[in-house]
Amino acid sequence: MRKTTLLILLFPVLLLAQEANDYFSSMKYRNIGPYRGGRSVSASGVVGDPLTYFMGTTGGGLWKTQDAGQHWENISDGFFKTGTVGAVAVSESNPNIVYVGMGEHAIRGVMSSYGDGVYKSTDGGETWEHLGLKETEQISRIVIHPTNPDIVYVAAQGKYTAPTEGRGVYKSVDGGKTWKKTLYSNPYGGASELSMDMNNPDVLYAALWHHQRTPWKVISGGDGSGLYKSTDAGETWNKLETGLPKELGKMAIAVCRSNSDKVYALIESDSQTEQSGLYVSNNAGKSWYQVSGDNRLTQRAWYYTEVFADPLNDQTVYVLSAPALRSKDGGKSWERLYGTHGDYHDLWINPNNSKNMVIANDGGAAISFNFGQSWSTQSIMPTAQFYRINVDNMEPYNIYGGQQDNTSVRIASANLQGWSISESDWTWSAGGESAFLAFDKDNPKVVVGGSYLGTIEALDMETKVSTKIMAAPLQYLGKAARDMKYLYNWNAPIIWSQHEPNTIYHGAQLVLKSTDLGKTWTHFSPDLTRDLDEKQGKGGGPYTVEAVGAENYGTISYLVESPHQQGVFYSGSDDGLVHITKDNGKSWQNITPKNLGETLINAIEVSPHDPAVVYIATTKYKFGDYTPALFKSNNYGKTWKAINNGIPYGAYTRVVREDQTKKGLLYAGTELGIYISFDDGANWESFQRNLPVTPILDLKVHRNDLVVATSGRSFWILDNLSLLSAYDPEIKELKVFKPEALTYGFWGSRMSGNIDGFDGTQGFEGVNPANGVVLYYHLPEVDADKVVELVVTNSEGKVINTYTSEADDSYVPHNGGGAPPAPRLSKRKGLNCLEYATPNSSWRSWRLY
Amino acid sequence: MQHPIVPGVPGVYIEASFNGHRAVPGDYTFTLKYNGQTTSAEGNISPNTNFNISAQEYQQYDAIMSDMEAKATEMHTRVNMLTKASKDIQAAVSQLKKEGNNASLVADGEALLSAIKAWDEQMIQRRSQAYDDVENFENKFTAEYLFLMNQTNSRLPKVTQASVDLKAEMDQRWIGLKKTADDLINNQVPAYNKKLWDAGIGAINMD
Repeated sequence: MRKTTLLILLFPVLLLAQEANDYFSSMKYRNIGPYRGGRSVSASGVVGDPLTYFMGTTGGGLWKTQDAGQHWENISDGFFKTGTVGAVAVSESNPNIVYVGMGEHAIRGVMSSYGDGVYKSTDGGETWEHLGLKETEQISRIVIHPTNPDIVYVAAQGKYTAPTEGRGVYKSVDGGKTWKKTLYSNPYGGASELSMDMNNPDVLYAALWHHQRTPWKVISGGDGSGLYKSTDAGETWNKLETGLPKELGKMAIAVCRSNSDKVYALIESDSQTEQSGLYVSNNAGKSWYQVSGDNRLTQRAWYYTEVFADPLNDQTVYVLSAPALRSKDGGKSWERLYGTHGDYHDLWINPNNSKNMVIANDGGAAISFNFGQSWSTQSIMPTAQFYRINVDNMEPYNIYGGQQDNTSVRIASANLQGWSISESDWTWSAGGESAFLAFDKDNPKVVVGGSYLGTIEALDMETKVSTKIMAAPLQYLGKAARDMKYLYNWNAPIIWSQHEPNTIYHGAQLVLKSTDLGKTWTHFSPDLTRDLDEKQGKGGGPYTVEAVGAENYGTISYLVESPHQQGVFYSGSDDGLVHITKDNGKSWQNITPKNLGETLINAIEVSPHDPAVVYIATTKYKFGDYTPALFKSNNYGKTWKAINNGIPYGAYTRVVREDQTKKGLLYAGTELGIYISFDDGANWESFQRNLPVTPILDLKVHRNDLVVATSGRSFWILDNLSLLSAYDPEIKELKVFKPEALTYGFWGSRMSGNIDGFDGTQGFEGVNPANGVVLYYHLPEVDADKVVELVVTNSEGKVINTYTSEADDSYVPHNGGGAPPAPRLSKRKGLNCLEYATPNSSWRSWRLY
Repeated sequence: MQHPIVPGVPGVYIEASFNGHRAVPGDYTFTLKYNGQTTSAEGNISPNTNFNISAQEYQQYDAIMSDMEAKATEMHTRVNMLTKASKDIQAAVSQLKKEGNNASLVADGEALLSAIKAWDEQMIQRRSQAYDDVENFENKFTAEYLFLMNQTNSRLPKVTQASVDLKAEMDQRWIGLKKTADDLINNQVPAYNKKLWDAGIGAINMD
């Protein structure tokens, strides 16, 4: 009886949760690129197969190449529930067995994602099984026994925002069915590295790292840090101390495959006492001495700290940091590796040929066969991580955004002269990686963009030269936040006024305004943050200072001007305040929702339909709380209502946007994908469609398109939003939806024609929008014997074309040189789509020899 | 959105596009019929402001393309009908030959087959099999007509005088060829068919 009641209660909810995503199955997001790789912190080759490699990306899932990096393919879509990979390991004895640990281990505060444990494949990555350990959140390394792939160890770094038990070294002897935690120090001590003696797999070395990231500080070092050794296959561990510093931060450790007695350890210690550096033991960990104190090895330790020994030569050792460094004399002197992207996080060296390696860096993975002299390209991976987007009003319109550890990008939403969106359709733009980009949307010749620590420039997009326009050109690197005159967010908002010509705003802890493109600046507001002095010290400690601005706290994180009224602005701060001015900056009112607490106000959306309606997307993920937290106000922020029903815990909310045509049709971008609400936020459902599982950093609704910035899969666009605005879940009758207006043109696209089996990504270039009238129709029911017919007539009533669902049995396929088959109408219950194939796609208009 | 595809000739390689031309800017009505119900929606294709093509130019383009596509469709429809008929006639003639009587029916059949073949050889080059193979075998009438149709089908649709003039010339040739085809289809094949029926032999199919 009780069960029945439950079923009745649950069923409608489940039905709703599936409805729109299924109903709109003929709508697909398209990946527009750019193809410029994003961050990877884990990569592996395969022993005995020098053509095959795996790349774990941060946000973009797991990728595989079988031609030594000429092509990479995602192999985790549809299997993994989170997008960010911390570790990948391939069994040396059975290369079909691959273990993946989720959650990146180089933990950036601004865009690091949590993982959901361990996945395993027994067929070389074709299919995957989840093996638990969800509580670990970030995994730094997986090590597999050289001859028994059922014995596997996981170095769990643990949740980075808060102390937890889910960290340390885990061991499984049954291929990951069950796990046992065998090494643990304290709730801050995550395992940052694990190294196995491949000559004696009972011997393991582990590094535990005492760490936490608060929104204002990276804590790296403390009681939980330590180096450990096990000689009984990871069952018990002994701390290694002789010759090592007392103050320990982040560490890495690597035992030499060519000499089991030689072990390298890279150690973050107190930067001020020169104890940080590379240590070596020549007696299998019994005693240690510092072999190099070169600060290049240990700079910005929390982000790097990686050491790897050449498997065939114990004198050759690699340390990865902002540069990749190599020593051929056991660590005494160092050379730099060049030829691939910077900011390195992982290295796999072929144990049979140490000239062959794969390296992971902020541009992806890269393969070398010549000892690192040259590397495979990263310009073929659509795995960029983007922060914020803006769009212009050009034809086609362009999308602007900053790519993590790269330039900002201006990319066309379509290539109206060709088949796909390639590098000839995108270019770099103003500012740097963390840029907000601002411009006159109707004439975007000058683009204003910034980067971290408040740098800002006005770039002429034609000549590609810029003027630096900081309101106060002060060097902030290394300073405590409280000592910065202007305290900027990592992504400091920059906006271009829609109402006042040539007027720009730059958000610090207060809003700066310039009416002459940065020649002069004035204060447009007082401090609009909580200004908590105790949270405005140096951004890192206790041993290494972190001060590139990601830990600046008490900054404006979002700024928006009302499109309806001149002089109305909203601001949001990273410590949880929302303000409004209705008198062009003369006075600002605190309109923060009650009891919001310290929260990142990540995005503010003024309704395009009602000047008094405003939405905010907030998140406490930096405090380790993954609760979705969207709010709506009908009265300029006087009162707020939480609108999160249907978005699960874990899908923390970064952005909310309203449809431009349909009031109350909302789109939310979350850590776990896109959600849609047809009732102004009362209920949400997933609207992921073919979009891979990847964090959504920003969304924009523009010209009936939904533009998506992802953290790991570049940009995507969902066309034809007008279809969503006409959605009626109760529809019972036959219906043709009014197609969106089409401009006469001749671009080609994979989206023209049948896209049932298309995942939205193609080759090395972005996907164009369909060319042709994209016609959707609803069939209330389907009868196999009845035919669907469509007649197209022009304004004079003349028939232009007719289409049918009936198969054309008389059509004879031919090896070119004949007529193509006519498009058929699909006949599915519910929504159908007629896409037109592109004319002339199979025929060249002149001969090529 | 395109106009209907011109039918091809099964098994024949013609280096051309068979696609109908793209619908020109304007308002369109989409009428869907299913299970006795009818519903419709309005749509629009707007002119591309960068193209500098007048409404009149679009109209001229639409008119000439529609006419050529209709004529090319007429051509290939007749080619395919007569090909089908030939197969039946050939089968009948073979049967008659095997039986060894009806010499006049055999002779009539063979004469009709030669007449159809003579016409077909003016219309279609059946020997080329592939892209570069078309260089080995000279193109015939419909291949040339399709070439003209494709050359008139510019993305920036301005119809040239050369297209207009050549179309007039080829349409004139088509009048003659069409007359021959229609005579075969409407008179000669049915007459022979009647003779076959009269002799108690099966029918020729041209559907």
